[in-house]
Amino acid sequence: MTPLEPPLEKLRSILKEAVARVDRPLEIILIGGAAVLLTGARKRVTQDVDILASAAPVLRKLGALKPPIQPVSDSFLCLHPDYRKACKYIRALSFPAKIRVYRLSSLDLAISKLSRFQQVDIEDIEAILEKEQIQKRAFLRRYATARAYYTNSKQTDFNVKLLIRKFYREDFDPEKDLPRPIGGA
Amino acid sequence: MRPPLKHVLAENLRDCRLKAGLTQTDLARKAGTPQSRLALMESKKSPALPGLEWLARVAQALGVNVVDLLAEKAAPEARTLSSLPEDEENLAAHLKELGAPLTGSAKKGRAFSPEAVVLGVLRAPSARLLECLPAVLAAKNMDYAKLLRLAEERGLVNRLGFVVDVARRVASDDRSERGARLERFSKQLWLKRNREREDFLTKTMPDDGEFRSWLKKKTPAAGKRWRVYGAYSLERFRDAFRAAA
Repeated sequence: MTPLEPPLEKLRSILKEAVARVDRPLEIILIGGAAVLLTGARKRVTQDVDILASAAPVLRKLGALKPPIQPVSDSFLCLHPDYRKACKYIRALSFPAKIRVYRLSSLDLAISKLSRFQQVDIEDIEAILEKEQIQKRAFLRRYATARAYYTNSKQTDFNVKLLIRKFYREDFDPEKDLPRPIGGA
Repeated sequence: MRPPLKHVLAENLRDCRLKAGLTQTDLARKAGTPQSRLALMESKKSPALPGLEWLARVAQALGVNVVDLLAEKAAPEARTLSSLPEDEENLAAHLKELGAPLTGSAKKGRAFSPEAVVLGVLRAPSARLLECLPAVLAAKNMDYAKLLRLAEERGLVNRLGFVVDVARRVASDDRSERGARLERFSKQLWLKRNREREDFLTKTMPDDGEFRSWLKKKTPAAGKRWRVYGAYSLERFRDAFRAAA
């Protein structure tokens, strides 16, 4: 088995311990720094492993919701409605068929970080855009749909404007330059 | 005997870059040149000399005149600077050894003092590494006199002042000697601060005016006090401090 970074190794051992008690398939989606680490865009993260809160009740019931696992509600994040379809399967952390672990796709991960947009998030987004060579058009197309489902899109529009100018060195006006949302239910 | 022009240029370039708190990658990005070309110009071994236009772009990115890069007088000063660890991965490995809550395999180059590691992080700030500094600064073995000397040498007093203030704040629950020591050190730094300079604690200096004002708004109070700006949150500093403890 490939050795993982310490917090992910800890997650694997927690899941390994819990797998015998799982009575129905469980899906865990990694977000935040741990997911960035798995994209290979940046090498180091702090201790927490953020997961989407949908898996939290089952993990709690199994007694597996403990550090470094940190549930985060998806309502706090700017996410494309089809983010689940784009998730990447993490074989090294999964115990099929009972526990399957995924991470957000690189593009969704970058977009999810627009909601908080602190210094660490800006660096992560830039690292992802650079590593995956994500074009401005693709980024905006995905973001346009994600923002339609997000409560504080005014804030993320402003953050996108700053990001586009900083990273792509181009101007961006959310009123004019955003494509029409596509996808979702 | 006068040193060859290439030696003078190489030393001045490196000196000015370090004084500006930039890594080769930062400067290359700012000046719109490949990092490899910059490395070549900073190398005394290569005889290659740059064109005037290239030199002017780099001088502008460094905030100096072309003449400063070619003047002989600046060369001896460069040799007095203490060396600091470079490269994010190397810095992270050093920080990890000092108890910072970072993950990953340690790939350390040569040994550096804890003070040099702190200054290395401040010189090329990466948010995840910077957040670990308060715990490192509060450690008992930290030599504040040496830190102050290194920070003065590199023009990083304001940056250090900001992180020391944050460390003082997050350690405020701890009523031991650590808080009091940090408070004394913060006062020492305040006397040596650069009153004129506005600084951004970011990987690359922001050149967009709107982004700069947004960063200023997002900066915690300790940063505004030292005129060192960045979208940092005290919560993250606090979490890293607790994790290190």
